Formats: sequence, C-alpha cells, structure tokens
Amino acid sequence: MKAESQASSTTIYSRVNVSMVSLKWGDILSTLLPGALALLVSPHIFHCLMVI
Amino acid sequence: MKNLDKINVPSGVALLIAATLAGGVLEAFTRITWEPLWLNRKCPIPNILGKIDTKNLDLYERGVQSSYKYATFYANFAWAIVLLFVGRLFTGAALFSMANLILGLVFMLLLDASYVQWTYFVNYLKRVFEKEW
Repeated sequence: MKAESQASSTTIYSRVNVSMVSLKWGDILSTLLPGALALLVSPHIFHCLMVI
Repeated sequence: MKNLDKINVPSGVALLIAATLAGGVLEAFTRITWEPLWLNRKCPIPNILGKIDTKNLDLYERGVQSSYKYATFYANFAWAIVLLFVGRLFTGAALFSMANLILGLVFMLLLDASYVQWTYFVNYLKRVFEKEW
C-alpha cells in the first residue's frame, strides 16, 4: 500500500532536447544566405521605387 | 556596400541582423505561398506530429535539418534571385539578355530542387514513422 502511494506520487520528468531558439546550420543556410543576397540588391530596388 | 573593407564589427553585426531579417521575409513568403500552394498540393506531408515523442524526436529533427531546411533554402534563394532580377531591371539592364536568361534558369533550377528536397522530406517522414502508421 505504501509502495503504491509512493509510486502514484512519483513525478516523471522527461526532457525534450529541442529549443525554439537553437541556431543550427540549416537555419543559417535557409535564412541568412538568401537574406544576404536580398539585402545586397534591395538598395537598388528601394532607390528606384523612391524615384518613381 | 561599396566599401566592404571599411565595415567594422558593429556594422557587420548590424548587416548580419539585417540579412537575417530579410531572409525571414523570404522565408515567410515561402511559408504562405510556395509551401501550401505548390509543395503540399503536389506532395502532401503526412501528419506525424502526434507520433513524435522523446524517442523519435531526434529522427524528426534530423529530417527537418537534412531535407526540409534545404527545401526552404532553395525556395528562399529563388525569391532572392527574383529580387536580383527586378533590381537589375530597375538599374536599366535589358530584359532579354544572357545574364537574365541565366537568372531565369537558376530560378527554375532552385524551385525544382526545392520540390525534390521536399519529396525527400515527405518520404523520410513516411519511412521513419511507417511502423506507427
């Protein structure tokens, strides 16, 4: 009975090893590199849009 | 951009942040257009989120990093190529030129690669989680 109540009060913690803020190579690849190219050409576009 | 050799650490960090934000906009465009309107219609992704637990979480993460991230990378780069194309037009480049033809071919190649990588991701999910189907 005692063991039973002990077992029922035991809390099992399971750790999930994933974080929303973890920076992986895939994130850099998929976001930073295309963004760098977009950043490189965006001044030309903005400049011309301002003129128009 | 003309004086890259004069960029110091703070402005380099600022450029990194700006590039990340610009990439985030491209990624958002991929998420709301390319992914649901083309990729998911051509090759529907199985709903396996309910099957993920602490035992197979690493396998799921591996599939995301090795396939899904490449699918988004190719698509994001394709949109950046479109921006490059538009930027060239604004600066007075001819519409029909060899450079624009190459940009068009690269654009098609990137979108096709994105679709192929998406099918890899979907097949990976199906095979890894097929025991639980």
